[in-house]
Amino acid sequence: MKLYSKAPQEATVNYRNPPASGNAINGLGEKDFRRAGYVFHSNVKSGPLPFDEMQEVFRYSYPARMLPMIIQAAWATFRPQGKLSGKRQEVTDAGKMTRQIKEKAKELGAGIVGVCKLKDEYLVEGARNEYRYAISLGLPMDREKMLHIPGHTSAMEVQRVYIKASYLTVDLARHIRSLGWPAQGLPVNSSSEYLHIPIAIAAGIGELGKHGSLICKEYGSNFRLTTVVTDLPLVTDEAVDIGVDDICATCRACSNACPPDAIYDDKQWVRGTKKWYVDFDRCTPYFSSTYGCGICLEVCPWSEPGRGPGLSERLLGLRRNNGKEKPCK
Amino acid sequence: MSTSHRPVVADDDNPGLFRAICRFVPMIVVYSLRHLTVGALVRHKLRRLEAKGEKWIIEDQAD
Repeated sequence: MKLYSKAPQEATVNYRNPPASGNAINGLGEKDFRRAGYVFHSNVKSGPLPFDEMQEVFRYSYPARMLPMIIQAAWATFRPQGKLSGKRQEVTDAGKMTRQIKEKAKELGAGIVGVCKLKDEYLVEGARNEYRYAISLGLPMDREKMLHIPGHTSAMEVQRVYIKASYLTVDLARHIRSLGWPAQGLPVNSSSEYLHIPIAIAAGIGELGKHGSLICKEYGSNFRLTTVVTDLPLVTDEAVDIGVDDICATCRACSNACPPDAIYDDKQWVRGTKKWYVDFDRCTPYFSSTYGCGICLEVCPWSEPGRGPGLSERLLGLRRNNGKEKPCK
Repeated sequence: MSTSHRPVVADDDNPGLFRAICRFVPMIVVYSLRHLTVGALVRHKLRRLEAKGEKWIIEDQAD
């Protein structure tokens, strides 16, 4: 897929001597399991992080005309999530309730919705899990605008979808609280204690791609995630296998297009799991110099509108016909 | 640089609307002023460096 903008070849912002290795914080090369830690996008809960100075340059690099959007996104994180109703609606049929919640989420703007049980490993180290379920929500981005990546047009589109996601998550949490069940929306203005990608994978939204982001059948990688955590009894979805690994094992679209060459061609050990991984120390300076980059998301063959379902069907069919198992475990 | 001025995730104590506005307004006023002043300098420096093909090197934090 051809992008409209010409991406700069190198990062404009970098450290003379980096304050830490983001790969070490992320646990690259570690074969034993441990929970993830905060690494970038500091917030009240994370406190200061090693790359805050680069993050400052990144935040201020956005043009002044984006300020109204930044204010709107910030308000989304401050909006009250609504009072917990004292009159709890008993749930006799969790399946029916799940369908109703998914319909409500779509009515509020979600493109895809999935549910999973919450596990401690879906939270950053030190955070306490207080809820039973997570509702993962995916919102598509405008493909035409995203093809201008990296630049103001795509950055504004990403911000627009993040604002929409932040309002959606709070509105859905508010709806669940009105039913008398605890719920918390997780606006996506900064890092969250909850890890949206592992939650989305467990909730059957999609699979992790070589570029370290999620790939789903409906939108490829051209979407953003948010989450609602709740105690409302729901029926969980299963993780899906749509054939992402079958392509990522040999496709080089994202790794070839990545200017700082940050995408590994093979799965790496990260905190006890072998998975696709993006080199933080190479990616982040470029990301911070280019309004959040994201070239890898748009050059991914799955991101071409309407291509996902057919591609998945063909890949899984090929695998079945060849009697092969899922590649690159 | 301080991290206190950023529009970050609010505590999850779920305040009422009035309290949320009272917390939000001062924070966003400070942030907006910084975006328009410090931010303008940052953006100007980035543009200047890009035009010259140079890099913004962040020095060691310990220095």
